[in-house]
Amino acid sequence: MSPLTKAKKDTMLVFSAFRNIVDSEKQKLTVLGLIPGERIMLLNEAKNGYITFVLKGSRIALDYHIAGEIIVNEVNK
Amino acid sequence: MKNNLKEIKICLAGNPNCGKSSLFNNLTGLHQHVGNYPGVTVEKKEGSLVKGNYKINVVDLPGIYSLSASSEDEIVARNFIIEQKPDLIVDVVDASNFERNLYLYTQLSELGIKVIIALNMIDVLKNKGQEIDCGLLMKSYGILAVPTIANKNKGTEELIKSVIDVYENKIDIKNTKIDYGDFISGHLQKVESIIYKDILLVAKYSVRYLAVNLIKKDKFVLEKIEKSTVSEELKKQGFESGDNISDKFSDSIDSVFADKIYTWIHSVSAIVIRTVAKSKYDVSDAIDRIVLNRIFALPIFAFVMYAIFKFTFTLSAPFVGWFESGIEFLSGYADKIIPEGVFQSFVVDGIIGGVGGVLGFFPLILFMFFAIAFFEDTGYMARAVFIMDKFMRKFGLHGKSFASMIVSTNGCAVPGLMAARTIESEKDRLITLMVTPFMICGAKLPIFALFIGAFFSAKDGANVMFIMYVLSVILALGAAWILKKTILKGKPAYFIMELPPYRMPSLKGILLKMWERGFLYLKKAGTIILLVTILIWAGLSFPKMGGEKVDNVSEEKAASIQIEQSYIGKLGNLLEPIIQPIGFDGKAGIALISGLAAKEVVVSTLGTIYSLGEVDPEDASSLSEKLQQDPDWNKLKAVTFLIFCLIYLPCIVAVAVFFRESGSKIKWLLFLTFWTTAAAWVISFIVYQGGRLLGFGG
Repeated sequence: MSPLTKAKKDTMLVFSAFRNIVDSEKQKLTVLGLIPGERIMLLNEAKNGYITFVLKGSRIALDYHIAGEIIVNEVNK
Repeated sequence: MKNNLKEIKICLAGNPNCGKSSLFNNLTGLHQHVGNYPGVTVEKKEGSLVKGNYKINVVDLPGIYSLSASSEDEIVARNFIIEQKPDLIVDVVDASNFERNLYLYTQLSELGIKVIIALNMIDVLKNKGQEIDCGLLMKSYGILAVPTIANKNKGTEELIKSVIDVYENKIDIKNTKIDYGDFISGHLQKVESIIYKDILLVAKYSVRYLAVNLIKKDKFVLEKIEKSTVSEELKKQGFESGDNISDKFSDSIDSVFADKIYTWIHSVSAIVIRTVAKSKYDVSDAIDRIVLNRIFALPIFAFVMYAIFKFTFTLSAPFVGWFESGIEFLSGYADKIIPEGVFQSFVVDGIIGGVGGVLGFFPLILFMFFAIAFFEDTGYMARAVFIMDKFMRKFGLHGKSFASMIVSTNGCAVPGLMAARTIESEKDRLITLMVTPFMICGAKLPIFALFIGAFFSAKDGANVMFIMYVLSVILALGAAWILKKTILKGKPAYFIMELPPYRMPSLKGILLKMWERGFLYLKKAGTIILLVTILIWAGLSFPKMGGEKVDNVSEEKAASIQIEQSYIGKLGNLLEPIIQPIGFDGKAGIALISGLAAKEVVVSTLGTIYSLGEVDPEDASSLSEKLQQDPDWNKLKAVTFLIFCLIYLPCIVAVAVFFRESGSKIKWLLFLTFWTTAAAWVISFIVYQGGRLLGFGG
C-alpha cells in the first residue's frame, strides 16, 4: 500500500483508503466514485505536481497534496 | 387559447458537462430568459416551450455531482430542486459515464419528485462499443430513460412527449429507493419515525431525503430542521445513528452510503449496459499527453491564446471598417436631412456619434465570442484551468479563478464574477472577485480597439492588444498575490476537477453562444449606453452659449467653447487637476466618469464630444481619426489611458454583482472602490511620467 503520488504511470490501481484529508475533499472524491475497492488507472505521474487518473470512465485531475493522502494498491497482473 | 394551456414546471439537473445547456437550448430555442448572463452556468436559466395543450417551463440548473453541495453554484442547483419542487426533474445523464452520473439520480429519486433520465451522448457511448437497454431499465427498475444527442438535437421531441406522459401518469415510473441493507435501513426508520411527528416538515421535504442527510450531518438539512418541533430529538438520533453506522462499517458515513449506492448502480449497469462492438480509439488521452505535458502545456496554452487574438483582430478588421463606414454615412445622411438645430445635434452627435461609436466594434466582439466558445466546447478550456492551477497558486489564486478570468475576458465581468461560485474556498473566491474586474471584458474591448487603432499600425495592432491582455493578467496576478499575503491570508484550497473528454463542437452550439453573448452587447447598447449617451450629450450641449463668447470666433473655436462651458465640461474642468499628472485633460476625465455606467460608454462619450466638436459634416471622419488628429493625444497618453481603463472601478452592474457575490458586505465594496481607483491612478502616473522621462512623450 502506498500513496497515489508514488504510483507508476499507466498502472491499474485499487483504492484502499484516505489518509489525512478534510471532509469536504473526501466527500467530493467519494461522490465521484472513489470508494474502497474501486479501480483507477493512473494517467500520469506526479512529477509536475498533479495527478490525472481514470475513475469510473472519467478523467480526474488532483493536486499533489490530495494525491498524497490517497492510499492505493497495485492490481496484481 | 393561451389561458387553456396546462403548465408543467420541470428542471434539468445533472453532472457538469453532460449536455444540460444544449438540451435546454433545444427545448426552449429562443424562448428563454437568461437569469443573468450566459457563460459557465452558475445561475439558473429559464425558458419555455408549448406543445399541444401544454406549456412546459424549463429551468436549466448548474451542474452538480450530488445534492451535498460544496460550492455556490451547486448550492443554487440544490436549493432550487429542494425548495422550488418542480413537477418533474429531467436528470441529464452522460451515457458514456453512466455509473457516475447515476449517483445523482439515486439522490433525486429520493426526493419524492418524478424523475426522467435524458440519456444524453448515446453516440459517444456507441463509439465506446456499448449501448444501454432503456427497455430493460424501465422493465426491471421502473426508470424511464429517453435517449438523446443534445448537440445534434436528437431525441428532443421524444423527451418532451415523455415529460407530458409522465406528468399525466400515462407512464408509470418508480422512484428508486436504494436498499441500504438491514442495519442502515433500521437506523433510517428510527430517524424517519421522528420526522413523521412534525407534519409541517413532512409536507415540505421528502422524509427519506431528510433521514439520509441527517445521518450524514448535512449542514443544509440541519438548518432546515432547526425550527422543527422535533429538532433536538432528530439531531440526537441522527448523530447517534451516523456514529453507529460509521463504527459498524469502519468507514466515514459518506463512504458507507456511497458504497451502497455504487453497489446498486453497478448491479444496474451490469444488466443494462451491453458491449456490442469494439471500442473506437479515444483521442482524448492522446491529446492530453501532449496538451498536459509538463514541458509543452504552458507554451501550447500561450499559443492558443495568441491564436484567438490573431483570429479575432485579423478577421474582424474588414467588418469593423464596414460598420464604421456605415455609421459615418448614417451620420452624414442624418445631418443632411434633419434641419439644423437641437434635434439634429441630438440625433447626429448624441445617438449616432455616441452609440455608433460602440456599435462599430460589434463584429470584433462577435469574432472573439466565437473563438472563445469554440475552445470552451472542445473541452480545452477545462485543461486550461488545470494547466493554470499550479501557476495561479503561486499568486494565491485557484485554477478555477482562471475560468472566471477567461469568462470575463472579452465576455463580461458579471458572469466572470458569478463563475467564482465554483470555487469552494471563501477566501480564494473573494480574491478572485477582487481581481476579475482587471480583465479586458467585452465592454472595455472597444476602448482598446479605438486607441490601438488610432495610434498603432494595423500590423502592430494585434500584438499590442495581446500585450495589453498579458498586462491585465499580470496585474490580476500581482493584485492577488498582494491580497493573499495581506488581508486574505489562508491555506491554499484543494484542486479536484473532472476533465471532460474532447469533443468536436457543433457550429450551431458555437453560433448560439456567440449570439447570446453578442446580443447582450447589443442590448446594452440600446439601453444603458443609449441612456447615458443622451445624458452626456445633454450635459455637453447645455447651457447653450451665445453672444460675445461665440460671435466673433471661428466655428471650431465656438464648438470648443460650447463643450468647455457646458455642465459636463465644467465637471471635466474640476477633474483636470487630479488627472493632469497622468496626462489626461477634461475630455478624458468626462469619458472615464461616464465609463462607470458601462465601459463602452467611454467610447460613446468620446464619440459625442468629438462629434459635437466637428463642424464640417462633409468631412465626417471616424472617431479613431479624430483622436489621431487631436494634438491633446499621443501614443504615451493613449497607452496610459488604456491602463487606467484596465484598472479603475468596473461598471456599476459589475460592482453590484461583486457586492452580492462577496456576501453583501459594505467593507469589501469600499475596498474594491478604493483600491482599483488608487491603483489605476498610481500605475498610470508611473507609466506616464516614466514614459515622458524616457522621451516617449512626443
